[in-house]
Amino acid sequence: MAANSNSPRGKGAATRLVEVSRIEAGFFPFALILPAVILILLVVGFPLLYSLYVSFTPYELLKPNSLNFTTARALRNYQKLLNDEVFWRSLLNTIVFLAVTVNLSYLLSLALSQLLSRVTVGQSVLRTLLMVPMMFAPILVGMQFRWFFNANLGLVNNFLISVGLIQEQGQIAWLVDVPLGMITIIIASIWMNIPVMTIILLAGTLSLPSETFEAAEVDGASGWQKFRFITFPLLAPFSYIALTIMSLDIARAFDIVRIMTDGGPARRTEMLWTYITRLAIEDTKFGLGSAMSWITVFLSVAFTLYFFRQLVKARIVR
Amino acid sequence: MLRKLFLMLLMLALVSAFAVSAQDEAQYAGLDMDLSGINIKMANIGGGQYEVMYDAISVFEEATGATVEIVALLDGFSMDQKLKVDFATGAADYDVAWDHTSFVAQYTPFLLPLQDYFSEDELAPFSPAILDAATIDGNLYLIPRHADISPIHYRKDLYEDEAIAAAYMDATGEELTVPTNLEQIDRQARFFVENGHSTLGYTLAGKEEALTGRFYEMHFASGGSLFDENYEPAFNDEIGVAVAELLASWYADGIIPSDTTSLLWDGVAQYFCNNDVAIKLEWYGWYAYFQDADSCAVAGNFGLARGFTGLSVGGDAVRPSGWAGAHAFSVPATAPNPQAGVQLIKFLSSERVAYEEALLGFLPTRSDVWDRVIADASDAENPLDRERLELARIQVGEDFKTPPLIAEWIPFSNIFYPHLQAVILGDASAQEGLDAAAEETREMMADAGYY
Amino acid sequence: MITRSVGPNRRRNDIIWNAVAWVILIMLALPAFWIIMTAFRPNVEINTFPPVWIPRRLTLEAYANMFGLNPEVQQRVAVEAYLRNSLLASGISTVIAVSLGTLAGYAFARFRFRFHTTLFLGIMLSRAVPGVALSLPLFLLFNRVGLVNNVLGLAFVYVAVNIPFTAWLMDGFFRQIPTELTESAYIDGCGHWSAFWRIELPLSLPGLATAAIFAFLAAWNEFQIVSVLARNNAAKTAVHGGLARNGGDECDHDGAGGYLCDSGSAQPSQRIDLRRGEGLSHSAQSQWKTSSMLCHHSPSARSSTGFCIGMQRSHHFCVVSSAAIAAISASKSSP
Repeated sequence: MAANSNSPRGKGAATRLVEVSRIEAGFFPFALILPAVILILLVVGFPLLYSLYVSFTPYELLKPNSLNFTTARALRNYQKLLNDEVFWRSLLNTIVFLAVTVNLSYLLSLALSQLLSRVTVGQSVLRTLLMVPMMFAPILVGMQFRWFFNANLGLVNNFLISVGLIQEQGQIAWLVDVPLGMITIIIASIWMNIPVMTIILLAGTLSLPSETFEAAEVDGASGWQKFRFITFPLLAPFSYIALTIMSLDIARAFDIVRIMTDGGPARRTEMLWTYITRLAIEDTKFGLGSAMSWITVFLSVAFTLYFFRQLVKARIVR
Repeated sequence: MLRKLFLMLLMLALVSAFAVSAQDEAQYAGLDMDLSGINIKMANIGGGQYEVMYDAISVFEEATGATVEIVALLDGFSMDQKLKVDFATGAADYDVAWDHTSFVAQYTPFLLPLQDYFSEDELAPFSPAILDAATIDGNLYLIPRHADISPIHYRKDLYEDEAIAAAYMDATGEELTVPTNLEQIDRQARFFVENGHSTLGYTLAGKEEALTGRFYEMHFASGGSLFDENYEPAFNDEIGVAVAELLASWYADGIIPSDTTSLLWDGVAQYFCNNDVAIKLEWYGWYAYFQDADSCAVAGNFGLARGFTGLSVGGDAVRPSGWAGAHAFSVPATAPNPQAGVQLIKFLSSERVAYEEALLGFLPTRSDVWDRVIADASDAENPLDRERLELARIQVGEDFKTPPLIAEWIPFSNIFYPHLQAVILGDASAQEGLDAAAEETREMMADAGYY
Repeated sequence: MITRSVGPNRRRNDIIWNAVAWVILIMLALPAFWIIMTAFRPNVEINTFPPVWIPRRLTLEAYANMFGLNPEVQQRVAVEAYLRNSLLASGISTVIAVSLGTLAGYAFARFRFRFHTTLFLGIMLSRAVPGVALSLPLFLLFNRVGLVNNVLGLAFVYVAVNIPFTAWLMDGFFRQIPTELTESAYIDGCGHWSAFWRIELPLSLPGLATAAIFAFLAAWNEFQIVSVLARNNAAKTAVHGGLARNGGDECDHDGAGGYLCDSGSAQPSQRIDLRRGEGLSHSAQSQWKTSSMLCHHSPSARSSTGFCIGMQRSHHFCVVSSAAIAAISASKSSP
């Protein structure tokens, strides 16, 4: 990227996201970054290293003497996890949950952003309306959705009974049945994710250069074609921003799962997060729990890294 | 209007009761020490009726000069998690901690043995069965607060209707009486549901330790034992399989709610409260709620009976169920003011405070308080008030049975209940599910050094 | 905005698009509306069957109960402490996180230096570490240095958690400011710092506001870490203290049962009115369901004392007010 300081800018995001020229400034940028790095190392790096150490020991919370490292059994926790059926099951559940939630949230937000970009009446009101769910704590969202989907008294079943879709005796056990339990959790997470994603995609859509669309219209492109061949590709950087934000924040879903089903029943919705808590605190097996924490750290990091690389690529290609 | 009248009557009854027993008033204890300037910290169970007791603390503060700071009010499970982490890290800087007979075994290395702080006279009024459960390796670790155990609750209208009784006789060749064993419960619950007399036949809590405990209880009542004498898992025997199959068939046939596996105590109680359940085993503590006509449709329409005996696969070994426990107080080993903590416990477990708490409906752990509350209820408007207490006293005295007092009870439960849920929901057969649970349990117990 | 030729067809299409968008968004906002309204409705309306969809009566009594204005309700929860902790932890951490994040974001946006990408990725990835993996080791370490039960300790953590996102957002904002400006500032004799301070920072204020809102909300709504780091009542935040007490599993887990929830009777007369007043016969009793005790399921658990609802509602109160702030400034800063 050579210095292109005389390139026209400010027209739209497409130009904004292009790598800008950067200035050489010796030590100055390091001084700017240093405080942030130190803080992150203290609060995130150091504890993580500590838990890495613990993951190689048989540490149990209520047995202080068990926090000692021996090479002989250093890998025991990891071996145990690899042989643990519940671990694999919760890993699978987590992956399914993440894959479905991320993809569906993205698709729905994309559709919603296109819809919103066409609104001519009261768009700012709608945008504000859209952002309301963003303000709730995930744990509150989980609690409320658990209540909405309660079999005996929940709003959803009550509504279905009111309109005659189900009988009062035939209440649907939303949080219990396969795959309804998973679906219910996913609905709650998607509901929580949509606002941020939609706002980002909407911002992107509104900033696309209108000349391109006019040209396409002259060529007689249909609405779908315009979306497929112009909007969607141009939105790529925004899509990856949205997906990256989501993968950064995905652990917030933990609060939701924890409070809605806590992994149950019969481990049908058990995920890595719920299983870690059960192992590390309730069962006091902190060493084992730390080993599993590390596996989730790897997963989250890999996930985020993937979207970041895509983001960087999308920027450079433009 | 009616309610006001009732309240006035109640007040009158109370006033006259006090007048009669004026000389013989329940006494406080633990006030005979000067604790000026000491700030006693207490981590305790919170929520609704549990907190009423803490109102009395001002009496203690006034008499001893100490101040009491309640640093945590949590439910039992959260408290358990808090205690574990605090004990592990030496962060337990409080002088009195909530404890429970089902949980105490995990904490013993971190608790102060209390036998030297209490005289024999002071311990004499407490139920021996509960003190037994509070004593591990000869050390007394907790002082009981109140106990709980479950009687059968049944809907009275179902047993008083002659048409139903006749139909039941036709269908089963058996007289319709309040059930005393699990097989009767099974037959009756099915009959009530199949013939539309009741929405549900039975309910039980369906997750966490609540489910493990209910299984333990049914298994025990049928003559089984979760572990053998070497702490090898024994719950996958034919008794265990029969119990698990019973639960699974209840779920499949709609005898128990479709969301059973998400239910804990309050959800279970709600179904009964709504008059939707024919029979269930339920803690005594819900009594006042069920009798409150403003809250519950079942008010005035239920009766109580001693816990059921188990399935006949157990042969001669069947016995009454009696999963029980007691909320209690203990002193952490790291307490800054252990003696002051003990004084506060003496006060909170004294006859007077325990009696006041028993008036809320909790079951006492002291014989003197039992005498008092039963005497109080002798002329109660509703005879069930008295019958309930007499029944409870028998159950606490004779059937009180804690789960195995091992530190691995909760880890065991966390292994066990998801497997049992899988059996109930039909994801696994009873034998498969229990065998898998037994295998994991054996591994966990081996890691813990049992064999 | 896409310019369009105007015609009758277009107009019809426009109306359809608008209508569809409004309907869908209102449906999406319905749960949020219900959640917020929970704070202002009497319990009888929330917990009945058949459900009362449209509020008939609004009330502030839960707030009164919560702040101890109702003499009948015993106040045992440190609402003031919860709110104070929430404000302090979120406020302090937002100020620091935004400051440090802005500096870092500026460095990434403006300067060329070694390890640019590595450092950037490293900072971002620290955010991807799940709270579950972080909270316990943090607790063990904090416990040794006396930062447990301490608002400052909490703020400290939230700063670190919020820096990555802030840095990223600000990086984006600074990129939009033309480099020519900076370069001409250098020509005029500004140093790096004064160019940043006097020229670029003032231009990025809208970005700063957005970043601050995100950081504040993230800290305010955080649960996982505070639930481990705050061991005492007095150290909890509104989300933790308020929700864990009544929404969480307060009442339902308790080993050997007992009164797991309150069965007091602050509002029975209302409940009875609803039941009888609406003409439901006793034989149809299974038709009505109250859930005053459903701590486990109900947002308005233990309605009879009302204070946990109060707690619940305190949370709503703050959520709603922060939502309003966020919405206003976000609609200003979005394109």
